Parts: sequence; structure tokens; C-alpha cells
Amino acid sequence: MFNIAVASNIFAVARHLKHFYADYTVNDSGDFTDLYVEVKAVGGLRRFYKPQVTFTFDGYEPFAPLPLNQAPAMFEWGLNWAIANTAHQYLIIHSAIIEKDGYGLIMPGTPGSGKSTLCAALINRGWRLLSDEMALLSLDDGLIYPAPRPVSLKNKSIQIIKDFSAEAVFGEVVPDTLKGDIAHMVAPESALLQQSTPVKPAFLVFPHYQDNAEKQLKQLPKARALMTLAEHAFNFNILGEEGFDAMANMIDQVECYDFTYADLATALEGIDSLVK
Amino acid sequence: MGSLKSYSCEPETVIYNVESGDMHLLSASNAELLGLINQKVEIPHLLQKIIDTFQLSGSEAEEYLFNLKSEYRKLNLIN
Repeated sequence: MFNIAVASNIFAVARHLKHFYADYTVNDSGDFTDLYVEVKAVGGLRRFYKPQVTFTFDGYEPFAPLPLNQAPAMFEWGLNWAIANTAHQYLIIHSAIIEKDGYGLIMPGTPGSGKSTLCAALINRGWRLLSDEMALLSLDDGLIYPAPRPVSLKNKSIQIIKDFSAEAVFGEVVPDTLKGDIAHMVAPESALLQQSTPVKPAFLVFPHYQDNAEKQLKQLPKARALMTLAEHAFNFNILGEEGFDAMANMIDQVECYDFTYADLATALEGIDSLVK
Repeated sequence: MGSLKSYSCEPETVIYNVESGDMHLLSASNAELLGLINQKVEIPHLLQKIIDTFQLSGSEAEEYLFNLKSEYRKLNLIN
């Protein structure tokens, strides 16, 4: 999907790449590199008493430095930022995107909605991962293109998914980041095998995790869904009219739902019922 | 006012202002009235449309249209 060049002087980043990206294709054919990123330890005296890491994209540092132990997480966050700020051949929606039997399911989510937890569970139950973070809706053909990467989980979700799937492979838990404790899960093999296969969007589901709630899959009026979806699009303002047209065309094709759930088992039932 | 695009699916319509990038969710009836206002349809026709759509009296329809136009002006949807 994207050719990415990474430079780093941090061992933990090399270990992260080896652990999570070992099966990705190495671009040794001289193909165009889309993104150049650097994740480097801050030099000077600081490295002795409060070591930090910086993320640089094309010579620009979009974030303040973070503690050194967060270097792999900063690489993943930074890469998300770099893609969202450059890949304007797509309308980029902040959402998980998965596929089963040819049906693409877009799952935007605000913090606490359970988007990543649901996504992680579903890709361990037969759904294909295209991305847990961004849906890349092509302005040319209206298909969604995969960019499978490690799935980022936070706090309680980490243990929930470890308990849910013994096959899921995790990296280390990094405590006390800006997002809480975080850990990454290796993208399943099926995601990489089909990383060049786009999907036609079929369902747009806004998940809402709510303690003790009854499971409810409620059809959402399409115009309202379009308004909500625009709030989740990273580059809608940059694309303008083209972005509106792409989003409206997609909304026309998909079924739109608000989905309230209280636990993973009933959530999976609800999502799976869409493709049955 | 910039040029407007819309996406309609009963019972609502999204209006997108191409210049400002703002989006507005309107009822299908109010979106239809917006279209008529921007097509410069004459006031008596607009009032009759409002009377028929919302089952209002003549004076209520005038007030409705006044308020609607004032709201649309604020949102930069009409001149």
C-alpha cells in the first residue's frame, strides 16, 4: 500500500519492526518511497536523566518528544499522522475497516466506543483486517484500500483480547502513555495475504459501548450518518467538494447503523448477523 | 453565499457549502424550501408551499418563511 522508509537509532524500534512487520514486503526494488520517517532518541545531557524520543516526518516534528520507552508507540502514532496528512488520493476516515465474504464494514469510533476492541475480536473470528485506524476510501473507484498494521489496544481491552483469543500475538504493554496503557497486536496473516485487495463498503456501523445496555442494532438515517461520518474524516476539509461527493456516494451504497452493546460476545453476534 | 451541494435521503437532507466547507442537516421540506428560495421563486408560491406542507395559516406561513430566511442567511445558505 505505502512504501515507508524508517530510520531509527533505538533498539526497541528495531525490535518492534521485527516483531510486527517481519512478514511485510521489503522494498528492495527501488520503487518510489511514499513516506520517510525517523524515530530517534534525543541527544545531549537529557539522555542520561530523562531519555526521550522524537518522531520526524520529512524533516518536520509534528509532536512534542515522548519518554523513550514509548518509541515504538510513537512510531505507530506518527505513521498514522503521516498517512492522514499526505494520502489525499483517499478520503481518510478515522475508523476500523474489516471485511467478510466481500462485505466491507466501516466502524468509526470515538474514544471509549470500543472500536479497536471489536475490530481485534472480529479479526480473530474470520473477518479480514484492512485497518484498525483508518479507512482509505479511493476518490477514483469508491473502494476501500487496505493498509493493515498492528492493532493498537488500550487499558482493559488488552486483557480482554488476550482472554478472547489465545492465537493473538501481542507486543509489550507500554504503561502510562497519553492514551493510558497500550499494547499492539500483530496483524493476522490473512490481512497481509490480501493487502492489495480493496473492498466495496457495505456497512457503516457506529459502535457504542455501554455498561449493562441491551444489544441494539438500530438503522441510522443516511443523511444523519453522512453528517456523523464527516466528523470522523481526517482530510474532509482538504478534499472539499471531492470529499463530499465521495462520502455521499459511499453512504448511498451502505447500510448505516448505530450499534449499542455491553459485552464482546453479543457484540460479535450483532456484527456477524449483518453478513448472514 | 457559496455554491451548495446536497445529499438527500428521506426524511432529511445534508446541505454542503462548497466554499466554506460547512455542512447542515435539514428536514427534506426545509431543504426543498431552501432550493426554491435560491431559485428566486416568488413569495406567494413559497407561502402556499409552506401552508400546504405544514398545515399553517397565511400569517403563520409568513412568520415561518421570515424565520427560515433569517436562519438561512445566518448560515450563509442564501443571499
